[in-house]
Amino acid sequence: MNIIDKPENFLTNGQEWWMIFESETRKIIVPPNQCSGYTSSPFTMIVANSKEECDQFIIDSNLFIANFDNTLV
Amino acid sequence: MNINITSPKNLVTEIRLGTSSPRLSGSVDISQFSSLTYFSGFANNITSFKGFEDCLNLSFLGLADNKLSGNILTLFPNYFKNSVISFFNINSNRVSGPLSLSLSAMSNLQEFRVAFNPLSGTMPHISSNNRLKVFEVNNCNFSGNIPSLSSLSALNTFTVDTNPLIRGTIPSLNDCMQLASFNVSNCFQLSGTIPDLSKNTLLNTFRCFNCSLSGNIPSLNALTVLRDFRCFSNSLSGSIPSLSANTDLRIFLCSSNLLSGFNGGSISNTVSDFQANNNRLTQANVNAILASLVAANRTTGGVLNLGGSGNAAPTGQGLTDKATLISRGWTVTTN
Repeated sequence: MNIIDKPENFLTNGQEWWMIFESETRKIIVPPNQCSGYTSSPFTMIVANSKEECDQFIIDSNLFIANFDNTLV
Repeated sequence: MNINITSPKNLVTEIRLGTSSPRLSGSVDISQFSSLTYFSGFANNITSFKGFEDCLNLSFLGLADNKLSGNILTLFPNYFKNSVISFFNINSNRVSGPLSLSLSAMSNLQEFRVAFNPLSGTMPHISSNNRLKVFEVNNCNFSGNIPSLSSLSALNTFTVDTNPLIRGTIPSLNDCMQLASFNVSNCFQLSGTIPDLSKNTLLNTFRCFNCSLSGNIPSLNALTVLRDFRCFSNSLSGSIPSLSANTDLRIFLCSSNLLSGFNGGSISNTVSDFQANNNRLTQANVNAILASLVAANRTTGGVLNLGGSGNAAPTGQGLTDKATLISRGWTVTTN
């Protein structure tokens, strides 16, 4: 699992699973997904080999899913 | 522990069990409360409920989040022919069996909530329930078609998501002038098109993700209070419609479709989550979306995803606009 703080055009290939979370609030900004492209974010990016790895990270880190305006989804 | 409520039975019009820790458990029998109009027993561990047929004035029945189990028509015999009942809520129990009947005799019905129960068969017919405001049957095991919503002029909330055996098409919503929230997501066999939404001017939330819908996304121009539109993971084609009129929009998720255009126009600075990845957007479309979000001038961040297979990469001014959004705190993915 890769943990990238403030990724700048980090390339994902569509095979790995990734997510973005805000470490201070524990809020998940982008839920686990498989999408290729170059991602930049002021938050923290997790890149894993499987969704299960991401899900385990969410549990272990006590993260929660919300949309950007803090509405639980 | 059984709940045993005694006299003055014939004077009591309302019973509210409230919540306690530990939760109240056992069975409830209200047959002696002939004047009862209101029974609320939310969030307890009630396992059976009897005697409502003796309460001819009972208009509110709230039993959500309990441990009711067994066949719904056995548990509530003749209940669905009751013209007095206005509010019926048994969400989140273990009530099972088919409910393939018409609710037309329930002429005062305003809220019908049976979500999160293993109910089966086709959904009840509701086209005669012209006072119905809330129809909530999500996360059950219903099959067949979504019932007709014609004449349901009072309908505010229609939630049938996560019924994987539902098939057919989304019915016309043209008569549902009060509709604020509509959700048919995770009904994987639901096909056809997204219906015309031009009459649903109060629509706040529309969700139809993870279905098998095709055709175009309809015009959203009439939906001036729309906040949340999610149609991802279908086979929708054509263009992302203009969002210029949706000045309160927060979330627009249309990823994993076959969309190949963007009708342009402004995007509100209230939008904080825009995801159109895994489509067929051209370089011009991608650049135009980036430009619209820069022009919106939202400076408190957001999420934008235009990456994935099928979409083109931004170029020129598009790359500049991507950098601008990132500098404003946005999380941005592009090819």
